[in-house]
Amino acid sequence: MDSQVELQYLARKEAMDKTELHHLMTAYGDDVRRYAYAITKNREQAKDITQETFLKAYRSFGSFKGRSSLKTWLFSIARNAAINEMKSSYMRRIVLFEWVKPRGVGESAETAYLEEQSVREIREALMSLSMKLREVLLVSLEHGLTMPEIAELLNVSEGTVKSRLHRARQAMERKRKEMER
Amino acid sequence: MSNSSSAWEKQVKEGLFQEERFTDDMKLTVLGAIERRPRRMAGLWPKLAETAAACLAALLLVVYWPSGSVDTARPQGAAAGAEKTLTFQPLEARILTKGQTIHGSDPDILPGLSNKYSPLRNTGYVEQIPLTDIELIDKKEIPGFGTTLRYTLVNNEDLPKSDKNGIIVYFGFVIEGLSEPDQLFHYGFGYLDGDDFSATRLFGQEALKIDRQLCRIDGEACVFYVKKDKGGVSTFAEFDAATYERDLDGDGREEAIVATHKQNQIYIFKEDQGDLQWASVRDALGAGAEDAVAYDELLGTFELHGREANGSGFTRTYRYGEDNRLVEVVK
Repeated sequence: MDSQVELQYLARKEAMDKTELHHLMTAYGDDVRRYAYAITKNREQAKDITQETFLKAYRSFGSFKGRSSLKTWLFSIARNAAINEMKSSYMRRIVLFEWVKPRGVGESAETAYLEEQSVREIREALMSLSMKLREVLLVSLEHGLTMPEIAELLNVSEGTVKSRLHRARQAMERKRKEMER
Repeated sequence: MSNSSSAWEKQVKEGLFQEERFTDDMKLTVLGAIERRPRRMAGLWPKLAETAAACLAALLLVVYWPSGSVDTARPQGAAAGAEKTLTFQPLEARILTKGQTIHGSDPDILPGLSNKYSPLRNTGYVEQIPLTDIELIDKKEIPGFGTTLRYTLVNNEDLPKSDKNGIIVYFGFVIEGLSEPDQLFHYGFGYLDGDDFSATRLFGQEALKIDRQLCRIDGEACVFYVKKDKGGVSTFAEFDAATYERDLDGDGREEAIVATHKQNQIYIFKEDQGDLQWASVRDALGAGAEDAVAYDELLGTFELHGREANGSGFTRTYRYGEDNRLVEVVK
């Protein structure tokens, strides 16, 4: 965490060199990859998105003005890349730029109940939430983003963030109760 | 908060995906990628710097040499003023039609070019939807084409499951005289911010060019050509690499010049009644594995960058000449 704080000095720079990029990747690489994975639920995509995130961060570093934390800025790049990638995959699947009603997708994730409070099952429960709820829960709890940071990242109001967090917690609780039946 | 909720929250705070790590190999991949420039001049600047000095020396020789040639006689390359023949051949690739699926594992249609199907499309006209079905985010005028809109969909029961959360931003067009009243052409996905829209001509056809530089995971761009006619709006070509349009041979129909990052290929495509012919500039110039080819979109010329036997760099420039020949430009 210290190295992450130290890297905030980059906010005053117009560009970064390769050493600084390496430091940035060391400080935030795991976080960005985990965040990308939480959004995409796909390891390979998460890996590609993380690499793309740092590549974009390096190439467009001048756009980082230090108004948000480096982590929030990187998450924001990763989020756009992830959404684009998911859309791209989706497009490829249903034929690019053709509006075709897709077939239903499997519901297996949503039938994963918490049988015991193990990491694996919490993880399954969490990953079965909608992206909207899953994402807000993870950036808040795992990544420790503040309400204003989450609001900026998701481009929604703080009230919406609070509401989503509340619903996400309720959904997790509901799954726990379903498990107890 | 109950004990059980505390338990799962504690687990989430501690991290549920510890195995998802950004490894040193991945960092090296990123560091390696920044060595390459993202666009068509990828990797050429160090060579250009060297060759600029060589060209300057050559120019001085031309000015001060009383007579004779300054041809440096590249051992395996072309002599100054040499001509190289472009060999056009029919593109053998499937045409994507409505309902067909593109698989990532399908082979590329040409070496280094990421298209899996023919760049020509036959997927029909873009659907129109009511303006009341969208929530507008912003719009942009494209002179010579129409207005592009960026929006999310609302009140649509046919939304795909992946969009139930309202995360997908779409874009479409309103074209005066073509869009039905209170309707828009519902085109596709994406953020207009990263796309470059311009009115252009390709294969003798007026088109809207959508140029998405940051598009593919493999680093290539995606370029879409959209046309409008009495029937509506349709995509008529897509290239999965940086693409430029120019009437190289002067026949009044613009060719597509496609510059790939992968394998540093430059392909020229001609269209004739729905069929494509292609030629490789790299092959025509006889570029070796260590040589680089580039296209100058401003001048419409092709460049070959390489090294002489003595290690010094050179740049040769070629213009498109008659009978599909590349003619070296002697400065």
